[in-house]
Amino acid sequence: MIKDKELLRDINDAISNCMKCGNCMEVCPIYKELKTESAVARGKLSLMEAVLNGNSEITAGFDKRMSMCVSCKACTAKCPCGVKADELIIRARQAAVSSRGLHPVKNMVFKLLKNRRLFDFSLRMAGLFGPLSFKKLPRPMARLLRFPMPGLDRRRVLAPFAATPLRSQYPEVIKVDNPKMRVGFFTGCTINYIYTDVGKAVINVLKKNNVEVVMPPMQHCCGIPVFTSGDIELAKVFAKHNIETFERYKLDYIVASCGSCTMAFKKEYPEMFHDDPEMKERAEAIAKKTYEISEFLVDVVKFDQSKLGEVNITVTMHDPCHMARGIKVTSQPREILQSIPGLKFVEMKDADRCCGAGGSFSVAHYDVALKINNRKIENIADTKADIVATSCGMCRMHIIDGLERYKLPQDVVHVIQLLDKSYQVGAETTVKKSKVS
Amino acid sequence: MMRQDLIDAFSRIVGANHVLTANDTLLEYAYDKDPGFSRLPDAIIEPADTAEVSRVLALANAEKIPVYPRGYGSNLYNAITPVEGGIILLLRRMNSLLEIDTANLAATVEPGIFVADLNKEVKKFGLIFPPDPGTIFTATIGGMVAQNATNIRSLKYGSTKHYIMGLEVVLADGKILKTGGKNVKDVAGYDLTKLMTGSQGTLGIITKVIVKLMPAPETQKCLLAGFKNFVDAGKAVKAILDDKIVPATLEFMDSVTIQALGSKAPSSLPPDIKAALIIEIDGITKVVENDMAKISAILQAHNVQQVTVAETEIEQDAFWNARRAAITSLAKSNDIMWMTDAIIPRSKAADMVDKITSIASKNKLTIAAFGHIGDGVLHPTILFNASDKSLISHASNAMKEISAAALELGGIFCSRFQEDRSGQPETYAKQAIKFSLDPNNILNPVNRVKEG
Repeated sequence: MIKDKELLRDINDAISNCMKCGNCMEVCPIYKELKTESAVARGKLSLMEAVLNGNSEITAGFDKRMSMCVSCKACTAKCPCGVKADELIIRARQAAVSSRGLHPVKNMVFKLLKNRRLFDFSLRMAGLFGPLSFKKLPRPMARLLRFPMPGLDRRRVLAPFAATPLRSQYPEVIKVDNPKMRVGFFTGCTINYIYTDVGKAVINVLKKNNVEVVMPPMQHCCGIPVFTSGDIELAKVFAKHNIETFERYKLDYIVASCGSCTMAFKKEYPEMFHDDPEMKERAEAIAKKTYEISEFLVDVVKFDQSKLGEVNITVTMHDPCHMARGIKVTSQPREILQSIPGLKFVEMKDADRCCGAGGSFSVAHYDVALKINNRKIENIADTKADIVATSCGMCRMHIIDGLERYKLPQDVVHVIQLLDKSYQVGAETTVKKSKVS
Repeated sequence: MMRQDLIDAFSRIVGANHVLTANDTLLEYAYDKDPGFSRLPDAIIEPADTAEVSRVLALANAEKIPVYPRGYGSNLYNAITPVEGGIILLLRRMNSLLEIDTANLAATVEPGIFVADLNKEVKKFGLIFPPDPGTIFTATIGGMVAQNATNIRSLKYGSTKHYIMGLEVVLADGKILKTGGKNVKDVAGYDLTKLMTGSQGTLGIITKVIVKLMPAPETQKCLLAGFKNFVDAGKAVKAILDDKIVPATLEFMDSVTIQALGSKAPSSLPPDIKAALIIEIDGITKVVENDMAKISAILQAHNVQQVTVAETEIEQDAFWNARRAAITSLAKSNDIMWMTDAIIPRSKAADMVDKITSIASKNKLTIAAFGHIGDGVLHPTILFNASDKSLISHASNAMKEISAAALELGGIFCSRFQEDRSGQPETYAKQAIKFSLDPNNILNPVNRVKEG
């Protein structure tokens, strides 16, 4: 179809760089499980090529094949020809949305997501009525569904919604005595509504380092789930809203504690507005200020290591895809962990390999997501670590699901939670010492 | 398009969900690693075992439908593209490791198993399957046998054919042939195992392979050496081999290749380097150390600029990743790439590089040279821009001159731009074999055999 062809015209050159060598087969987590050409970048690019050559159209089969991608960027990192396959697959999804519209379930979810107030209200309600719909498991932050829910596999271990979202637990501005800088905290949805423990740890640690924290109440979803699904127009609405929201404050920096949210601010927003010079400039100004929390503490704040207390545990680390290949922040979280007295750090095999969560991928393709996850869990088990540290809420939930299935005792936390813990122990020890003296 | 009654008939053999005919799926199997060739198959059939392969072939033969065996499509030279339409026989379901026989140092596998997966299993017994085509994570044993794949360890360990003890092959009409076996001496008369190895899917479909295993080496050391000119590098290679040292690998990259690698070039190589060698030695620790000392001395005597010994597996991988990225990096930085194989006696490798360089400057072309220099396998690769039409004749000329140079040095030359060899005795013999076994010419009916 001519129309379908035109939808992909702008990526013609980029696609022709693929020489079909199949090196992507070596690293693609989905290909490892399914072993079909359509699972891997080479096959998907050849389909796009066929649409461009007029040999095929954007069909339901096209949609289905393009949906089989966790956006982990491993193929792009491996490609000897420099083909950015992950971005091209998202472009193909955009073409599919233009040609055939969004998947009905996604359409419903995104409509809710688009309305910030309704979204906030729904998730607050979910927090209040959570105990009714979730069954508790012995592990902290792990719940099973009591009743079937559309789109969610009932075997899946989820996390409870917070009774009170993070941003409602704090004032808009969290002051410190001698502020050396003022930062805006972009919480993201998982940390605001589910893993408030991470948000609290981020605030505690920033306060410890004399950083004043501002949490703009109007902030909204970063837009990555919408963007990767191919709904570029809606993603731009989110981007513009967040850019405007943070522009209203006088901030030295912006921090986020999730790899994907940080990637949205740092990389995706400026690219989304590539054909809108005014918005692009504003997006770039925001991007320049934005840091992931570990990166921020190590590279900018040079966090205070004198007040750390002993945390005697063995920790291994999972690098989320968007941390490792999206914003390329892997050394800083390790530096933080290794600075904690008493903490023993052990690397797991393939630490930066996708855990299978892939945002909404694990909702739509739970069985494949489980298979990918099994490999991660086996690598975790081999380390014999007490705790897994990571920097992404979705990874945390998916890995906890895997650990529960394997009946393994480890918990999964954010890197910053361990740093917070160490500061707390440090403070208690100081109090004890001062009492003795 | 395949007739519905045939689709039904094949579905009865392998199950309806293993006969794929959706256009979107066919498009994904219309190519291999060789750019520029693409043709839609009519159906993709995924058999589960030898019996199913046999029944599929019997039917295809009766109906005269072309059949192309395929593993994961990481091969070069357009070997499995369905150029005449027909069936792609996808062997991915036949990927079991059937037996590891440690007493006889042999393993029996199905063709669809990845080389890396076989090696992972035999490693538990302290054994290795030595041939490493450079793409062990995506290459299958079936593909290696069909192509008699050369590999980066062949200097010391030989090529794929030296590790194939026996095969099970389904012939064009569905007959199941067994060749060779686990006995070291296992053939009287024609060596059919050797005939099938390298037959590129034109004589039968490989359904089982008995491979020979070797004890894993105690130690492995890898180094990267950079030279200011290729003559020094070539002389160093000759000196190493003259000194009776047999490295597992001895790889060469010239300045064109190193430049094309760009950021993928090993960071330890200084920018003004014109030739690089990757040398890997394995074996008993004492011997390896001794050989490394001798090699270092030889490199120094040949004006080496830089020697980096990999201390960790990660450093070693960085050297290899550079070498493995050579083909794709050259393809990326040039419009048109004519890659060839020039195989010369290893003692003449430096002379060949010298000839390639003068052919390049005479024809005003860029020609890259890299390859398994220790075995005398070089890949002269002619690079040019499509927009300048005059270059095509220069390139064809250069191709002929490289071919002549290789023959003059006592070697052979292969490219997909083969010369016409019809009427030659070799072609006559090959065709006689092919058409006796496959009279309807259904098995991978590329013109390869017709032309020799």
